[in-house]
Amino acid sequence: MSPLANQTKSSPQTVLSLRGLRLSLTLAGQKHELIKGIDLDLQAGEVVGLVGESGCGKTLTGNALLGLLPSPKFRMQSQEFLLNGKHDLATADEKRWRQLRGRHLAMIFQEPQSALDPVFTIGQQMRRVIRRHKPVDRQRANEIALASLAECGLADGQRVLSAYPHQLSGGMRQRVMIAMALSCKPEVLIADEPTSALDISSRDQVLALLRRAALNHGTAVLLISHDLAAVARICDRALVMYAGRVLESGPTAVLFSQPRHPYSAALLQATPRISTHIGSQQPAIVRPIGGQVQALHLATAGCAYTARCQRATELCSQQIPGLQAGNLHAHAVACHHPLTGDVS
Amino acid sequence: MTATQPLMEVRQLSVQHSVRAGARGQTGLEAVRQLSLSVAEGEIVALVGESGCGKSSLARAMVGLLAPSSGEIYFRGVPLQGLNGEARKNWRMQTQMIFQDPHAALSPRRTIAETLAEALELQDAARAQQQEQHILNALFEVNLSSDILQRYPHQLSGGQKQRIALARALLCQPSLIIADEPLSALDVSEQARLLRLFSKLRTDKQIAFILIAHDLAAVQQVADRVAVMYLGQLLELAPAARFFRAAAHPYSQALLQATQRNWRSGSSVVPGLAVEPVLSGEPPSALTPPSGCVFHTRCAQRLEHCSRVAPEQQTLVQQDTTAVAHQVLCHLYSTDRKSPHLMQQEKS
Repeated sequence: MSPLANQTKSSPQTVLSLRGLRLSLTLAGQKHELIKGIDLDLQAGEVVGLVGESGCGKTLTGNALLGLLPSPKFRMQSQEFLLNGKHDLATADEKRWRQLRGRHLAMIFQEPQSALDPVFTIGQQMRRVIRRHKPVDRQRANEIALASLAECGLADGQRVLSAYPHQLSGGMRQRVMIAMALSCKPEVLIADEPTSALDISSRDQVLALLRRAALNHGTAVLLISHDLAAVARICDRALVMYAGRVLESGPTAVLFSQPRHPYSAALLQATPRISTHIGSQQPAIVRPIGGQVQALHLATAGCAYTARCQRATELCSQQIPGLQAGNLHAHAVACHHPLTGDVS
Repeated sequence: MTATQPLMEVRQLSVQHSVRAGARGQTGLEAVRQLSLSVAEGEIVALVGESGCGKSSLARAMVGLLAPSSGEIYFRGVPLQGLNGEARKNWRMQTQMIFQDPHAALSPRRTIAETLAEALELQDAARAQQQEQHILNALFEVNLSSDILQRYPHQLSGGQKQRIALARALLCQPSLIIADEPLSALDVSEQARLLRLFSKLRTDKQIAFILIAHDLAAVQQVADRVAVMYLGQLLELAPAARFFRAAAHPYSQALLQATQRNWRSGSSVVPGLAVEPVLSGEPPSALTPPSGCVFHTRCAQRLEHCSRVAPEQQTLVQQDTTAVAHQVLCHLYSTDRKSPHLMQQEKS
């Protein structure tokens, strides 16, 4: 175990605890159940990955965690939704959310260009966020912004503050977004595909930053991504999501080396890994997952992955397997016929 | 290089963009600097590098979307400058391009059938007459069924749209497809589908590819050679098998490390320890490229003279018998250093 993992375990302060999240969308009078019961705990200083293909409900979950889905179109229900063990988010109204967002919970998005306002300088946008949540003057807000930028590897902070978003590169914009998100020292940071639009070195820098935020400030980071290599690089734990449910969860090291759900195994097999074996031939091309992603709004009587699963039996299409609740760091799987042993 | 004539070759190619420099008017930005590269029939060459390194400018110059400021481009040994009329049209048909964002590459107002038919209408009448058959064949090639034909782009998934873009390219019967970041917008499963298609088209139809990508793990599965670009220059060009085993340039090594830290094939996952990025900072501006070696400002293995003297291209000696050269632009491998570094790397 890494010293880091020990550290997070010895101080298991749960900053976000969510039980039985359900999310439904009403369109043209018809109600569709999208997220079908998710439990999620985030502890201070840990980085948790939320993985799955496009359209499996990862982003919806992330937006729900910040109360960003418009009601009454979307309806969110949960048995428990607590921030820091005291703030009840389940009953928070929009006014309450506005106080919490930015201060306690922050989010960064896939496309930093569209998340930044093109007509204001970075400085104006950062100061506004800081002064909204902290009783500081312009000068002090500027200092906080500069410190936050420096921490995010943007040494030339003064120049960045006076720049407009279009004057920065994609990697710099994403680091500005992170600096802005971290400027009020939130307990929870949701990062929704933060590296998909970036090149290899910017991606590496952003991942290092997220890990450092968890390490230095005890921020709990939820990394939503379909990039399994990114999750393997910085996440302590990971959850695999499919059609609005969590199919498997556990410590990254265990989950990635011994996946138990056939879907997790298929995802891993579809992700190429660099092979450096000397004298080896070109690695075989990875296998795509057969079939199409189960549409989020369709209800299934059994496991949603049945149609694409090679291990599926009759039982799978009749009964939804439950994710055994257990210790947070335990390896849990929702499958009638889980894999055993090392398949990677 | 192999003895046979390359399908396409660029020699000492430079591409300049004119950019606004303050109030003073225009200045030239050299996106590609005296770069030489070739691709053989049926070969897949991967072109990798950070955003802004000139990959797309090079690709666009190779399909004729950008005019090079100097240098030559040859298609099957014939210089492009001399091509006119029918010969030029033939070359443009044979060299197709697909782009990063498949949604932007398809007209939102046309059905897939209309989009694909247009590619045929540009060709000779004989092919246009058997339109339907050709379109069905192209769809079959990219593993899509014909019920997709009456749909509009917004009704398709990203992966399906990218395969439609590929089908449209195939209708022109190309011998070279330049794919500019075709994988970036797709999820892992769709990436795997597209890579399989590239590999199959190369084997079945001898189509050559220039694959621009930044995910080296994806590149490794299909590429025959890997070319690494930085600030308009080619820093390394190597057979893929050799590149992934013993990349020579410090920049290539950093890219490899950044791609899959602690998640290589065969190694276990140990997350959470890497809090420092492999490459810090941004690439320098192409408007004011660094003196000496262009990479020296970020290089961990910088020598004392790297900031002053531009390195010469070196061809590395290989023990294995592959005829394809391994070239690197780096002082670490200059012949007067007798390359102890290289010997060491070969052993490890």
